[in-house]
Amino acid sequence: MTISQAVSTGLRRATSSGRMILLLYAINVLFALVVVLAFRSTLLASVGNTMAIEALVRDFDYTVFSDFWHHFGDRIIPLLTHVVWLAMLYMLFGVFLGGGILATLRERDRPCSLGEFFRNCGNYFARFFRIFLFFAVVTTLVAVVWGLVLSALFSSLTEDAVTERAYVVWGLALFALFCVPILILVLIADYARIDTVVNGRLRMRKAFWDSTKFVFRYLPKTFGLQLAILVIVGLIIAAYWFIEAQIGMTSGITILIMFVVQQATVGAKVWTRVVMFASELELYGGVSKPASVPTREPEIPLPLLPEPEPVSKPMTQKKRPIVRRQRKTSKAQPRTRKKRS
Amino acid sequence: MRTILYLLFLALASESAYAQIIFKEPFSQRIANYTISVTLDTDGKTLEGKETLVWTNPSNDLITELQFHLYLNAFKNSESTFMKESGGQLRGIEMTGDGWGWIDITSMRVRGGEDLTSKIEFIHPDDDNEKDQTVVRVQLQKPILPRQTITLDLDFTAKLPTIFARTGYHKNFFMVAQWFPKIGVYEPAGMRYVTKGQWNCHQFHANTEFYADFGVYDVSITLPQNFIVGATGILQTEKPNGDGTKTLAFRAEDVHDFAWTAFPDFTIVEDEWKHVKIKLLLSPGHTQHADRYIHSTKAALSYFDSWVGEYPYPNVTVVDPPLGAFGAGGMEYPTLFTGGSFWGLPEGLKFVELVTVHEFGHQYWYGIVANNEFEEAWLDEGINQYSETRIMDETYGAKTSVIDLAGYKLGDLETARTGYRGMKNPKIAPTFSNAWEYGAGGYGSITYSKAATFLTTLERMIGRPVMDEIMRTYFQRWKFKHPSSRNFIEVVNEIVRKHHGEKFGNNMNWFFDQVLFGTDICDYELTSLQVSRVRGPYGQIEKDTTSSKKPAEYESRLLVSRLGEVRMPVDVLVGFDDGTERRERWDGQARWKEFRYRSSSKAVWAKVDPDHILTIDVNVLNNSMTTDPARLPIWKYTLKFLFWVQNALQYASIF
Repeated sequence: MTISQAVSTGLRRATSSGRMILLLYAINVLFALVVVLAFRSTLLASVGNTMAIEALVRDFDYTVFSDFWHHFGDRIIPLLTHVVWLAMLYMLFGVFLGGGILATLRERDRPCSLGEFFRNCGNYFARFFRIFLFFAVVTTLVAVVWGLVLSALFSSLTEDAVTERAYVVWGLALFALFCVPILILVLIADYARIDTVVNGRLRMRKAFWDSTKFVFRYLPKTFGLQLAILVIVGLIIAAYWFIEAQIGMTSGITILIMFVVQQATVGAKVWTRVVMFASELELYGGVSKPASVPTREPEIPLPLLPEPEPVSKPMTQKKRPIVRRQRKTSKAQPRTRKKRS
Repeated sequence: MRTILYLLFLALASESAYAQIIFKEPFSQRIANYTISVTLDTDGKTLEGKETLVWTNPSNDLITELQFHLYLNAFKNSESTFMKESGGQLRGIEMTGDGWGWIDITSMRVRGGEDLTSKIEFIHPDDDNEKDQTVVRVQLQKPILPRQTITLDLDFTAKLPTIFARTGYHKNFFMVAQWFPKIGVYEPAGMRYVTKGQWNCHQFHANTEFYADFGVYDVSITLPQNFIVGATGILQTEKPNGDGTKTLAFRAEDVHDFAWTAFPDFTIVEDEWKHVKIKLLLSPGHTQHADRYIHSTKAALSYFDSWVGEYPYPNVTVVDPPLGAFGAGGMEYPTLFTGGSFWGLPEGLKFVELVTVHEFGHQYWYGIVANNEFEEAWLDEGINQYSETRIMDETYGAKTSVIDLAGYKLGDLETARTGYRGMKNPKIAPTFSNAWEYGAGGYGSITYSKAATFLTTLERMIGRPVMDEIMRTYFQRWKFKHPSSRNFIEVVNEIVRKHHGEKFGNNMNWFFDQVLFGTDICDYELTSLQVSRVRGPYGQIEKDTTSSKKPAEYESRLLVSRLGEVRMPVDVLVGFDDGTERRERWDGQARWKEFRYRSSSKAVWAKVDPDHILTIDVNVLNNSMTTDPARLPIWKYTLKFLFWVQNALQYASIF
């Protein structure tokens, strides 16, 4: 399985998951609206009936902006604090949604209902939350330690610098270096989740370990895939800035156009995240298949699936007996837990 | 023989060059004249100097003591007034390591007369800090008679500090300023606010700059041969000494300070504007900004030349400090100033231009019109900031002269106004204050920003041509002298009266009383705009059957309030729904004023100060009102904020 194969399959899968992407986009909008509506009300209440703000449509007007900020900044700052809290909540909600996204993507061509999606979210939330916590701690530690190492290196490299260029060049290079382990940790977290869904993992330590091994065993592919997706994200952002520079928000019609462009950008980024999951899922299945031919039963049953649709594809049909069998053997689950405890 | 003749010729040529006169007629009184030879030890960061001061008593007084500034002692230890006030930092740049600096007069003698060395004593005229050593005085056995000239010979040793406050060294870059024993200014009765002749020689404070008499400087500098030197004045000779060092001789006339820089890694860029030779000394990595420096220097030269008068000196040197020496940047000295740049600075951030225009402006407001920066800093900083806003906004665009990058725009006047309006306490001190007596953060915001803002208000009130005549008259009348605020106001009163008669009253003192000597703020508000339909006559009234039905009549009521204590005449403009406009003039004295209009049309908007004359008004948002407020800006920023929040959420969910 090559990166391009994984990406192209991922693209196909993501594209066929339009309803789920729409749902994820809608969730993003709903979360944002919590604070944005408050922001709008604050703006309206603050500026009242002044004509001064009319200058802000045609162009940015620093005098009006700075007077506004000076007099009403105290009203806006709490909203920005709320954005931080909201982002943390959204991060947790993202953990919750992860199970639904992966399970839906895993089902390939079988359409997934809203209820089923959220059932899968619920099924995996506890395990995904443990993965999240673990990686949050590890990432923080790595960021601190690696950050200290790199800042010491930065100081040493720029000690004899005679121009700011050295600071800029080394700063950017070391920042890129700083990002590498963080990106790898993100990768490991992604594959731990995939591993959990595909192999029905219950023990997260095993999932961490296997996903770590997987990421490093196929590092060029896993990291390459991630970089490819990052390039796509970069292109989306660049396209937005280009369009923004060309059109601007200087009249009613351009504000409307830019609103559409902005939402398309957000939607495209949601789509890219789904493409990434789908591609990673594909890569995981593609490259790990020979090595991970199940020699044992999954640790826990795969998510409960509804009764087969009459039009089910052969691949889904092949899996179904396993699911049923797992249901029967689900008594083993308490035993496993007991063993763990 | 040929060699001897050649050397003899060279010596004669050097001597004649050294004695080269710059100006045929002196521009100034030339009260304090210095001949200094100094050697820079680039390893030890020390100076060894010999100074001859020829000083003339400018008064009718018998002078029995002399006072000198020893500015470098501000960096001697943590107990100096400068270090106590500044906390070891200036403009956000901190002193590093143990880079203390100091100056010591090892000998002082009246030529042909008494040895004053043992009579040197530290004084502290501004505070009770006995450990401050930035001012000394010496008692003279024989008083100096009125208009008499005295010649003093001094030897001094100085250690330069690490650069954080204008002067000192960073690695092998040297910015040598305030480096020699410098006599104070003796102010005779009648000068500025003085009723009895006295020395004006303040300690060096965190927020103070300088004050000195004009004179002629002949300075020879000896240092290692590989160093490139820039200095006040004109290079007369440069000769190798045969021991790896060289000596450069500079002469500057009608200046009141002498500064120089030395650095082996400068790139020299030379250019010319009319009679002025521009020498730009660029640090490594900054050569990309050469055009920006040159263009802005020429823009400033050209503007000042046509605005207030000719730049009298034949040259100007622009120094671009290297990485790590930003503390030396953005500072003015006669015929030399330091700029500021860094590698990769985008064109859209016009900091190079801003600093260049500002520091060049000081050649006029400080260098030529030499006010007392200790006591009336606004006269150079404020007037210069006002000049800077005009030059920057006219050269690089009123809304884009400071920042024009990625859709964000900022003009220089906007920067100045925000500097004042954005203060937590804009009443912290009057603009007319001793520079060391402003509250925390007040010095810059008041002397630069508030002064520039109220001068713009004055300009818009009296008209630009009148303001231009004021500035020209003030410059021509006070060049190479030491004016006071009173002198500036006198010029304003004279020119305004000449053009406007009694329009603004007998004089403009009311204006300066509020903005210069007072601390109040200016804030006019359009408080309400109400429209109601006028009822026809009612009660027991006979029906008029002859007249046809009258069109509806409306009463529009407009309430304008004065929220601040500053009183200024102000215009009010009212717009009606039939497209007509009415302009009213209010003297702005009362707390409020109501305007009423009865007509068939309704008032739909109103603006107080519609022409933005009152730049000192601290709130532009409350200056207008409409019955049909535009919601497009709200949508624009709501949607921008939505996009921003959505992106923030997406980045947060990467795990």
